[in-house]
Amino acid sequence: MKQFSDKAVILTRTDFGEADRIITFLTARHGKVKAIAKAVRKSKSKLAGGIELFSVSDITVIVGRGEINTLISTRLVKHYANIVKDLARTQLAYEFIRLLNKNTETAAEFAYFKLIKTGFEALDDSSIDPELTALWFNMQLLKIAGHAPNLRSDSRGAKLKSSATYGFRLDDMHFAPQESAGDFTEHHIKFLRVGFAARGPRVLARVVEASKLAEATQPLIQTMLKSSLRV
Amino acid sequence: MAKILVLEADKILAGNLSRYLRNSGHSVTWSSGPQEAIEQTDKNQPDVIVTDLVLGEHSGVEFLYELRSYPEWQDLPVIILSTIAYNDLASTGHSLKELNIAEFYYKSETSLPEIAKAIDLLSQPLQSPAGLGTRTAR
Repeated sequence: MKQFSDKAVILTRTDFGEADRIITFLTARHGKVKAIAKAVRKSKSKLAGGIELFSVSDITVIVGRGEINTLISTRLVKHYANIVKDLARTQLAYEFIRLLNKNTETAAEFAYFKLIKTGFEALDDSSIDPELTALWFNMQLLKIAGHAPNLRSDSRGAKLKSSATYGFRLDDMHFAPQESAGDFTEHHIKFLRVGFAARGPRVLARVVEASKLAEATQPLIQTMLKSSLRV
Repeated sequence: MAKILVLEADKILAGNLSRYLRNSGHSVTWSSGPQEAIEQTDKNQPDVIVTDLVLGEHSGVEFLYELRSYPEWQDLPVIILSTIAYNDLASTGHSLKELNIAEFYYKSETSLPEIAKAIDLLSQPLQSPAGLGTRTAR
């Protein structure tokens, strides 16, 4: 009987039958995995404790013949308990798993697992502004999916200038210089550069006037998500 | 050249689509909400409407029902360019069949040239086989 163990995060949970549940996990090394957790809704279930939302768990799964596998053991590694203490953070955590579920296939790369794990860690940390975490998460999702904008040169291939203002062109993902006042300046573009390069949202928070820059660039990131990913 | 009405709540997306269509030789008007779009349709008589189904707090489906309630706009070509996939829309119970939609595009899987091509096809008058007149492509 073929089986594997891996670190995993829950993406979806659906009740099935009398006491079973079908769970979609995003794992570190095996991509997206769907497994049935038998009798998990019974009070004496040994599996239930290890499969909480907004957590990282060790799971062991028996590989089934079809699409569905069977979950045989679970152990909670880290539960991000602070997330559910705050409504805004809880909503964002749900949004993170919804976006990842929609935009990953069965063979999801390790980068997606790392992204959701770092996203949960940041939402769990009350010292980090959740809006910055959301912005960083969306930038990283675009980057992993191969839709990062060009933040080095403008649409003509010239270096971005501090004196110019820019509009954004979605068709080639470049900033284009605008003669009349564009929506974006070098500060916005540098902020985006930091966000796309950063390993976590804490780096963004260190930028001077981060909240103001986040507020100005957030609609652009949302537009990029809408035009490039399944939202 | 066609007169196009773009109904899109996202300013950046609308700006990009409008710019691309203008560069392709079309005349473009942008509305961010359904009420404004109805007024613009009345004023500018567009040849094609491109609309999203999610318009801030409003629904594009409601806009389409209102548009189709006017007899003169029942055959006006409408292209949907949406963040909602067709299958997801069907699962919510909405049916677009009765709304006479020319084309349905899912935003994340559609390029601007594809939209421009669809508009070109819909707005070009086709020569009838007998050469007796023209009709609008459907």
